Amino acid sequence: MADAVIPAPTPDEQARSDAALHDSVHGLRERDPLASAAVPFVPWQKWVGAVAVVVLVVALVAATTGTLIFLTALCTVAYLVTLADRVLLLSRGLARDAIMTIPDDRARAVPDADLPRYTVLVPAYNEPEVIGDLIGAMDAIDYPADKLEVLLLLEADDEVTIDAAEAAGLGAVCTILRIPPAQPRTKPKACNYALHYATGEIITIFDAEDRPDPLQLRRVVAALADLDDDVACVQAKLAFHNGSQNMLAAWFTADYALWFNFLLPGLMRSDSPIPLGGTSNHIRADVLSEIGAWDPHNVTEDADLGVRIAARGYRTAVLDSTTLEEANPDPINWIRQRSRWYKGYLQTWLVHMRQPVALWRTLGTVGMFRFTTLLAGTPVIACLNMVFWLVTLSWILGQPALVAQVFPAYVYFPALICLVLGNATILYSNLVAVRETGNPRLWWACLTVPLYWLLMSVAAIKGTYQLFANPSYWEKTVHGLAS
Amino acid sequence: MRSRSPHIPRATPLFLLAAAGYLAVGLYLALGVGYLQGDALSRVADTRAALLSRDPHLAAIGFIFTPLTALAQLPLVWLSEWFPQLTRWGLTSIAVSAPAMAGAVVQVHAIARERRCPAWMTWLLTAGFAMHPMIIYYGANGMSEALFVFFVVWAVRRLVRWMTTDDVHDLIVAGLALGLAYLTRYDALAATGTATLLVAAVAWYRSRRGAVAVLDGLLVAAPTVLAFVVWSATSWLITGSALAQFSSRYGNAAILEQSGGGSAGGLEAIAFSAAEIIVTAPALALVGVVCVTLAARRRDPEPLALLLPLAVLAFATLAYLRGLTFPFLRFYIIAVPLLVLCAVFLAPRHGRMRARRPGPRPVDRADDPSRRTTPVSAIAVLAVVAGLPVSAAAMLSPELSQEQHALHAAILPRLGYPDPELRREQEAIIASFDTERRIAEYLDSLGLDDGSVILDTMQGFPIIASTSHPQTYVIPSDRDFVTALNDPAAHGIEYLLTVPNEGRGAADALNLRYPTIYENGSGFTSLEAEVVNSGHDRPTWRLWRVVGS
Repeated sequence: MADAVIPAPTPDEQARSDAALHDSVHGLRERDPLASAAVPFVPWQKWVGAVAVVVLVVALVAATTGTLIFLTALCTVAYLVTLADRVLLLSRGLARDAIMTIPDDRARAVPDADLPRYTVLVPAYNEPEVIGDLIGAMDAIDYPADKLEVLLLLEADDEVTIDAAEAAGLGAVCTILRIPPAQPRTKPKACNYALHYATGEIITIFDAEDRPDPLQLRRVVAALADLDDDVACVQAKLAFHNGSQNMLAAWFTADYALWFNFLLPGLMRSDSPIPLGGTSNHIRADVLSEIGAWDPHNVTEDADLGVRIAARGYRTAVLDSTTLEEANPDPINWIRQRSRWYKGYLQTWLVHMRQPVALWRTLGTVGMFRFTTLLAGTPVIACLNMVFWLVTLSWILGQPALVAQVFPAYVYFPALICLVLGNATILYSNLVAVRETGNPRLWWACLTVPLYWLLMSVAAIKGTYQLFANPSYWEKTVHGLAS
Repeated sequence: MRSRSPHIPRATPLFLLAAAGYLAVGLYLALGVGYLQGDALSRVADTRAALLSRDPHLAAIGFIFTPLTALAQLPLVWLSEWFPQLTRWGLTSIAVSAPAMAGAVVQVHAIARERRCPAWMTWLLTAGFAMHPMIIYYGANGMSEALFVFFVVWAVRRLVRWMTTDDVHDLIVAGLALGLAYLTRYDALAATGTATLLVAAVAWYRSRRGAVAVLDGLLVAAPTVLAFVVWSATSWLITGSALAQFSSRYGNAAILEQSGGGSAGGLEAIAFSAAEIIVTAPALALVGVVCVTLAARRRDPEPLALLLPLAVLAFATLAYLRGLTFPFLRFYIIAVPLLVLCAVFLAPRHGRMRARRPGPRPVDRADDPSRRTTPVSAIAVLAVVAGLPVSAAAMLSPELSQEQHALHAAILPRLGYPDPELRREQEAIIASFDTERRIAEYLDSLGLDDGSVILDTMQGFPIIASTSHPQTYVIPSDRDFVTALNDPAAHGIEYLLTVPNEGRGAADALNLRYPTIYENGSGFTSLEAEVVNSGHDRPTWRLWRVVGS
């Protein structure tokens, strides 16, 4: 493959790079301003938000108890509906055939001549320690070398990583693509830039520390051949190799087990939009450029792309092939990462709700509902959890009269059902998920998972706050913490 | 492990047929004969109190029984506002027990189908279960046994499946069924405990990993643990006692103390339990031994699921031995499915189980050699069927079947009575609650204001079930009951309905507050009426009018 040492660029190359850079930062915004999260709220959203706040304040002043009862009732209904839908999705996802399966022999049997050119993007920033893993992982991929293009995306001023890559002889397995330094220094910007150099018919992203199933690319090719033409993307499952490292890693592992093995397949079976995971999503290159690639201003560009795929009438399939990642074992680092996700989910929801009627026509009522409960509901409910836990705690400690007033019987009983059955159901699904993903030793983490929900809630509050305070700030996740 | 098994036909016709049959018998017994079971009617009254009393609140549903049988009746009980006959004749409870028992029939049938029993065996055993007199009666009388039998048999079926599929669905459904069984009857704890140990042991045997055993056990036990914790906590928050069945003045322990009837313990108690099991399932010992022998020879784990009903039987025997419960035949009803399923498992295993998601350690179901098993199966099926008349006869025996023997007078009055006294007793049993229905009718006819009659539902539940105006009554579940009882006149109470201060009446709330009220009206009331009860073992009522009201 290409040499790692890149000579000084010719004027043509420089012009190409400048154009690619401009496109990677501004392309989506210029072509389709409403699809970009560069502006978090469009004017009408600001107005609606402002009016809602004013109405709420006036109602709270004019009829405090009535308004609070209305709000608790509304939240309870939202909880119950979301819970019921989760159970439905989980039960659909639990069927063995919910997920797309390509057995090993079928994956290997695809003749090399029928395999399309494939591009793997590996964005990395300031993480020299994972270069060694990357070589191993890319070497292991079972795909003809002449059809596989691996682009390692490094910021041109990230000397440590570039040095490490060159010292490790990475040029033998991949091409190092130097991204010209420019804001925003985000993964989607790097990927957009790389798209201008990528030659594959299918594009995928792996993180530098990922260990993908070696047959994953072949499985994707076979799956796309089996599936209808409107399937534009195949998402593989993500799981962790360091689930036993500590309590947090164990919770995170159970969380991912549930999400990728049951919820995403359940969403696929329900023809609902699928927020893509950060890596191992395999996208047809033609569709990717048609719908505008990644939004460099969205901090969960993957989820955003997943929704855009659905919003443009395409579908995403979930494939039974696992990419092992490193679970974030450090609480502070974890909260930063998770708060970025929550913020990005909200960004994504706001972006796609800019033209709600058009979205509703494409997704349908149920799809629209799922899009909302997943992208807006997940962070908002995680924030509300904290409020209701504190209310419950205050009730246990002192039974304040206000709480009694705000929970009349018709709110209290549904709320109680929600508290007991909701929490029990999610805890139980975690047990199911660790069983079905071969992690039975994590049963104790499932029993203590409410502590993890506490962390989630903290992250959600942080992320929601940041949406207003600092919408495009990217909370970088530190990798290489696995022991 | 993709399934290649023949499609199991939808069980709807069987379900509808069985449900219609039990419902028809139930309607005949309630409306034609007027024979109701006290516990069923009492639950109906509690449900009505929760929904339609002066002070409707869910907690009024009561904490002596676990709540599912009552909760399932809520929608129909609500209609009793306009159609009081629904609760007066306990029809809401029959509407629950009939489909529940039909569900049990469907599960028994499905276990036999999944075992690939020959059709003649499947249908004879399904019929042997569905037409067992105890199953018919408890499908028809609105008691909690029907739901309980259904849930236990459902759990057994799922565990049998799990033995080969290792499908997490089977563990989940078995766990849920057992959790619901606990919310139906406390006895389910024995089944859940056994199921948890069984699943953990099998999982460990197959994986040799402790974590696998713990996790699979947890999946089965968790719903029951949740049900137990939530129910105990609710009970504790509302009544101040986590397990009211054992501590309340309305619980079994109190009733046994007040009116006797517990066992004396020792060999006699064990002999009684054994007799009850034998008359319920006469062929159990025979078929059971053959079943165990064949299972051991075939190394077939599927019959191990029958440890669940066995544990329930053991629990009933132990509870009676320890003097904790009554000598009731119905506590041994689970022997019926146990026997029928033992017979099912005599058939050699064939084919595969369908699984929605085969687990990590599915086991190929061995095809057992089928030589010479047909005569054994035939004898077992014959023994099951031949036992039915034995059970029917036993149900009419006053000694073995305290609660059911009055059926004799209800359905076979001409079938010989050596003892006229017995006939009178049985007719009185059937007439139970008739007096209370008349009292309710009389009080309804007075057109009283809401909250003008106070009574304790412990003996007065049939009145609450029967009346057209449940709001007329102040009952212990009302949150102002105690203050109203302390000063009846000030709370607009016109009448007090009292029972003799003896036996169970000693725990009646009115007697506790005014110990001599039944005797002399306690000085602030005048006797309005005395109603001698035509029912068996039912109290004489005295209606006292508050002086000056």
